Amino acid sequence: MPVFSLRKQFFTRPHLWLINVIGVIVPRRLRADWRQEWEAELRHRERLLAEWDRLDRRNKLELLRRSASAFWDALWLQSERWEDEMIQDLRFGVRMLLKHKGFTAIAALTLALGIGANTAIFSVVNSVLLNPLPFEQADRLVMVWDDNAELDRRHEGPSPGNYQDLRNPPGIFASSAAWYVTARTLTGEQDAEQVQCALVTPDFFTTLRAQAASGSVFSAAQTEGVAVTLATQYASGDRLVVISDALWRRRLGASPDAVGATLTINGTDWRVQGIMPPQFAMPDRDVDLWMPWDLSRTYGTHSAVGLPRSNRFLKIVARLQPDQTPEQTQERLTAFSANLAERHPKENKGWRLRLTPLLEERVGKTRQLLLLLLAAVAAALLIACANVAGLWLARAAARQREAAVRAALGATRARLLRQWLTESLLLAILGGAAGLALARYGLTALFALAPAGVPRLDEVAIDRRVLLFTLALTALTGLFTGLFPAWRNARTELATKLKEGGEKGATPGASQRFRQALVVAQIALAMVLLVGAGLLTRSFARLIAVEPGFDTSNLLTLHISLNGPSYRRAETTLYYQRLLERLRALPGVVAAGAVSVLPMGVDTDFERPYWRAGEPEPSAAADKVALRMATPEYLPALGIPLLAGRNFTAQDRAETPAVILVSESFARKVWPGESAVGKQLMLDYTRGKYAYEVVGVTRDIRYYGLKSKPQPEVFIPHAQTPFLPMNVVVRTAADPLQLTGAARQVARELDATQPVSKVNTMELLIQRSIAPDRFALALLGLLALLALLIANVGIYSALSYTVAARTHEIGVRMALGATSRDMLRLALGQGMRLALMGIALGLLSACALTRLMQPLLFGVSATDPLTLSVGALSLAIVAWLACYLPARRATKVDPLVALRHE
Amino acid sequence: MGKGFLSYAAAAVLQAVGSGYQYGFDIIDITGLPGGTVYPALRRLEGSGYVTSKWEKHSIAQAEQRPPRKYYEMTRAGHEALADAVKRYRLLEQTLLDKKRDQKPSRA
Repeated sequence: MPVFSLRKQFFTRPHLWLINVIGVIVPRRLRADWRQEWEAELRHRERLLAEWDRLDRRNKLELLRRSASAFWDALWLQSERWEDEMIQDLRFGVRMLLKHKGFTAIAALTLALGIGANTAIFSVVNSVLLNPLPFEQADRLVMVWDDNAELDRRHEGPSPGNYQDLRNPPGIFASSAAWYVTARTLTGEQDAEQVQCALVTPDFFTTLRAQAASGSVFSAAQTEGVAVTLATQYASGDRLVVISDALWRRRLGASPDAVGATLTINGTDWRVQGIMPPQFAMPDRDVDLWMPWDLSRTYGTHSAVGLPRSNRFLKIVARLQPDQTPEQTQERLTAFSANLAERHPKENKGWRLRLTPLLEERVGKTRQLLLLLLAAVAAALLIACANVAGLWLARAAARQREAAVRAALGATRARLLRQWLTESLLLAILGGAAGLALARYGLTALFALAPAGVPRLDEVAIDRRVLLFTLALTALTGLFTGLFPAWRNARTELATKLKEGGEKGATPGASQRFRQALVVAQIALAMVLLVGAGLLTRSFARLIAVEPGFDTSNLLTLHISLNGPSYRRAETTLYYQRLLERLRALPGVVAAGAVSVLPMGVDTDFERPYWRAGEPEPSAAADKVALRMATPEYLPALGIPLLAGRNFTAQDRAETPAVILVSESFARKVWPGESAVGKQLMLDYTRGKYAYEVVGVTRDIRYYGLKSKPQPEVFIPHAQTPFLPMNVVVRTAADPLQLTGAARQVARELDATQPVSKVNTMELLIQRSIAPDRFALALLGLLALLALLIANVGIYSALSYTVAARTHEIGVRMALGATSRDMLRLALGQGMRLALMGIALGLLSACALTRLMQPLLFGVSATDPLTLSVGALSLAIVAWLACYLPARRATKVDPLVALRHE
Repeated sequence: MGKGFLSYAAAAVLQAVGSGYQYGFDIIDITGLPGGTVYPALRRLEGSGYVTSKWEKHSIAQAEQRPPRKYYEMTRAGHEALADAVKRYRLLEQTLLDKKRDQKPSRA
């Protein structure tokens, strides 16, 4: 039925229109008959009622309902399709694929690798980047940060004083909450255990709109007047705590009566008010406890001027006002920052509050890595597609005769095209199904490989969106690989094909050129992947060659967070002195020391303002330096050399003059051109503003991991400023892990209520700090190898095919006097020309694309000439090999045989 | 299509054809079954050889100014199958046909 009358029918007689539409799925053979019968049925109904225009709405609906029931009838007829052309095509396609098992296996495997890799990486991208966080209206949640461009300080947490102002009406946010993560110790019948605890302001759960799985979360009213302060373990009011699902299982045996049970936390009893569901991971998965936190009480006791404004450490989550966009809110936030700077210039000059989506914050740097991988697997799939398209093209040439016979017997061009596309789609479906299976197992391997820091990995699953993605990918792959060969095959003139008699003649020019283009594209894409992997390799090599500044071998590290009312200043000093003495007495221990912050970016650091003694105190926004409490044995135990002056000694005690050690970069910065030893430095720390004498200068070490440059540091003797949580480092004569048990035993004997946690070796810590780089390198390297292999199989098969197709021509040339050497050169030259074109194209694209990789690279430019040239050279060598094998076959052509070939 | 058991609906349709209701819409009215059931049942019955179908002459349809109808007729095999089915669905005649015959074709 012509389109225009169909459209007219839709308005005049929708019930008949529906019959026509449903009729489309009726097998063509039966369609006219079927339509007529249903039309008769409906017209009969219509006549019994009245003319359509005079029908009331109820009767119209009744007629439509009747016509819709034709759908079931049409469905029932689907089994008749067996004789339809489509089914014929399918059957023929399956038969052809089964007949050429080798071709099918290779092509399906190539596609399966491509589709599988894409499915696996996309499922990670889907879960980590695309799926919303598991909160109600999670896209309305943001985090708030404080930036200062002048001081080059970004992404700092707002200060308590500023945050309190932010909460004042008129509210910029619908609601907001602050948290701070700290360590707490659980004691009781089981072993003492240290857990991460989030101190959260009362609106924390209501802002996130998170509910407890059992029990309840804190409500603002309920927690009013309940305070846990930062510095001490003080709490007033009811001691209520919300715990994680993991802690509930681990510590309370998943008991159903856990709500209302008591936990001993840092020596006092707390009542469990709620248990969060397992998927609740805010601020992150490591947090097991949530305690109510009253900001004003934290500081209220010792601050007359209100909450501090320069300590930038709070983490803030906020929910946008319902009628506000993030941009509008940011505008208001900027205005608010300007107002703050005006009212409190000393603390807030140059600072500007900025909001970021919560999702972005949670995902962090993983985004770049994932997008890089997604691009890489997409390139790999393109290579696979180009490869399979090349294979199809060869098949198409080989089956020209078949196509000609079909055409001669009356097959239309469309029919031939459909036949081919059916086959290529079948192959793609085969590849897609195998790819899906590969992705499932690949994901398991991916999780095993993935570094610990990748967020939301536990949410990764092959869900409906991933399945749709794979389906779409499969369909596209089928179309892409089959379309050109199908079109070629359907187009060629019947007479020519029958005359040529299949593959004996040279392939038609356009087809040949397309094959060559495919080879060039494959090589170019492989080149890009190879350069990417090469850059990551170079970057990784640079990274592991970085000198951390101390001897990392044979070092055991463990963490102890002293807590409880019995540990005041003197007891703390004594505890660590005794612990270190006993550790040193263990056989196999060379040295043992303790420090508040371990190198390699493991711990959160804290910085304080400083200035030279005798000079005026700078503004609050001035430079700060990282402080570390250390015992005298720490530097020797780690092997950090002293460049000038002396180390701490046992004589540096609480009652002796305050001393410090400074790192060489700090000494250079503060006293350029002078010796720092003997100088006085003012620090604003626990003693208040106080002068410390520099007694020595240490060599710089890379405290924040291999990637970052050494930062200025100041060491304070632990005996003069006792610090509760400390990291103990033990240098051993042999494998440090063998000492783990003995070290734990020593700590238990000293005080069984103080748990030992985070037992590691320094080498493990370093490994962990570079794990994301290793992960990216491993995956991209694997993909690049795969791409190299597939692309070279592509060039090999393309050249093999050309040589085979030109056997006759080669025979003639040799008969006319060409040597086998000439033939080798001819064939090799043809293959290598394509390879070099691909390499050149690939290098150009690589230069453009790898720039996006720069954030993932360390110490290597994205257009590193060495990487580019080595990559190009190695690809050229492999391509030469892939060309050489078929080219040699050209030299083996016997002119007599080749000419008789005709 | 095998010649196994007739479903209740198919038996009802066969019964209707046997009783002289020859077009799809008559059968729909008399059995009270929806079109989405009756037509597939007719196709199944035809496939099993229990009914045959033919289109009425175009001239007749044209004379009556309506689309041509497709007539269904019961075959000998259909009679046997129906007899079998009636034995099995003993209540078929009373509950279904008698009742329907009393009713006016209300669903028209």
